[in-house]
Amino acid sequence: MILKNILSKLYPKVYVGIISSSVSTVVCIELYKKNKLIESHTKTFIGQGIIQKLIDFITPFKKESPFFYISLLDNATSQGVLFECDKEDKQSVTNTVSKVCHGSWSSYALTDELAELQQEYANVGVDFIFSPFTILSNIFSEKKTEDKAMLFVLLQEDLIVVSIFHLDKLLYGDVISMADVIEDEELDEIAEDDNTQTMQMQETFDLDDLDDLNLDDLSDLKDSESFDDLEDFAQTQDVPQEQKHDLTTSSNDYKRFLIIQNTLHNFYSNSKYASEFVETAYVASFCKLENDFKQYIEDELFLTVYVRSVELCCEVISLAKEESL
Amino acid sequence: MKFSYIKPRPKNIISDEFKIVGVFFITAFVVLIFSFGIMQYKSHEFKTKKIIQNNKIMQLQSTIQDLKKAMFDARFEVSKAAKIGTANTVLQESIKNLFDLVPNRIVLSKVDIAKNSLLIYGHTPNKNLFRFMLQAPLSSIFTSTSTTFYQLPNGSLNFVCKNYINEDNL
Repeated sequence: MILKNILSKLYPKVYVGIISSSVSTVVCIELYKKNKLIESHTKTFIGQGIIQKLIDFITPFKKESPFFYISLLDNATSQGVLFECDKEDKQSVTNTVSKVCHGSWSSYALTDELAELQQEYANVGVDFIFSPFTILSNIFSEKKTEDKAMLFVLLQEDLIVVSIFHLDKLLYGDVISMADVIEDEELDEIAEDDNTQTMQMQETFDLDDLDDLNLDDLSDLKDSESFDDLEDFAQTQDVPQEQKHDLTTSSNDYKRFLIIQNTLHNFYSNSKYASEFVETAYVASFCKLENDFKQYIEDELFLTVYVRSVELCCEVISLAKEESL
Repeated sequence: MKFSYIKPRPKNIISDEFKIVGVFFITAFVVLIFSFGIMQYKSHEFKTKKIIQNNKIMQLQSTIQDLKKAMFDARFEVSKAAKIGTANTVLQESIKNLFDLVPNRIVLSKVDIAKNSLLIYGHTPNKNLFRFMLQAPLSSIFTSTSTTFYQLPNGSLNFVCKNYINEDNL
């Protein structure tokens, strides 16, 4: 044991984080020596034979140290949260469910699915499998000091993890696959309906609220000396409409919006959840978002939204670091 | 495990080959140390036994010396006893011979036997009897013989006969 402690200080610690989705697999490797980051690599694999590419990528680093930890993020939709935690049984594994306790709440996953995940990466080996709820809670740990209900969202390419916290108390938690939300055809219908509604609202606005128009803008119109200026003005006025149109037709972002909307609807309408009003949403994004995604949610759901781009892989590694101590 | 659903795989810092070699050398080292310990213990035990045996030898040698001395003394005593026995035998023979020499009519009252002399005190009816019957054999044995007679009222004589042997004639 003493020898192991001495050798563990001599060898660097290598952490590998793997974030897998249906689209791609992101792998990041970090080498630490005496708790200092000495090397960092990230690579995204797309297509077939990912496991072999993964092995080829991590094998050189595997030779660096025997202290080599591979961590996975569990992306199964069957996982979930429990609003209680048995302090006597902080981590329990049964034949069907594996549970990890986090203070007043706990996350669970199906044991069979975890076994499948381990089997999938058997050639690489797996040391840690983390729940996305744990990651989400860890990312926004500093926000949980505010005495109000807050919505935390973790956005991935094909998965959304939502949770609602009031301080350290978990009020709601769910993992939703983007594929399960809505079909493309339905989305188009919704998009068309939305456009129609938007147009109708504009028409209604033009007819009924003509007197409330800003006269300064009209005076600007009168003062314009050329037709080009008029075109410029028209373009300036049309920009918000185009942005809104982009979001509605950008299926992924709209799906994400719908999921968040459904989450809040479910939270408010279902009596099994605590009756609290959510004012703030913190979004951790591990995917590319449209510029007006935040604005759209704020406008539609009356939320104050903060979007943060996160390196999910690094977050997984930070948990693995804590876990391996 | 605070966060993970599974426990990490055990980390083998030392390779299996190194473990085998290490175990071999450690075993060999332990066996050597153990053997050395046993040898040290046995050596110490033998040294202790040797000291004890040496002490026993010294004690036995001392005993042997004492026994030799006692045996010498005993032999001396035996020799001395033998000499005394011989002397007593000689004396016994001498006295027997002396008494054989004395005729019935002569009565001895005292005999003083020394190494080189014989003094005889007694009573004789007459001088001739003494001279022929006793003095003559004594004269053949001793170098010099002299007799003194004392007249008694009843006509008999007391005598004192002194006989000496010259040592050179022995």
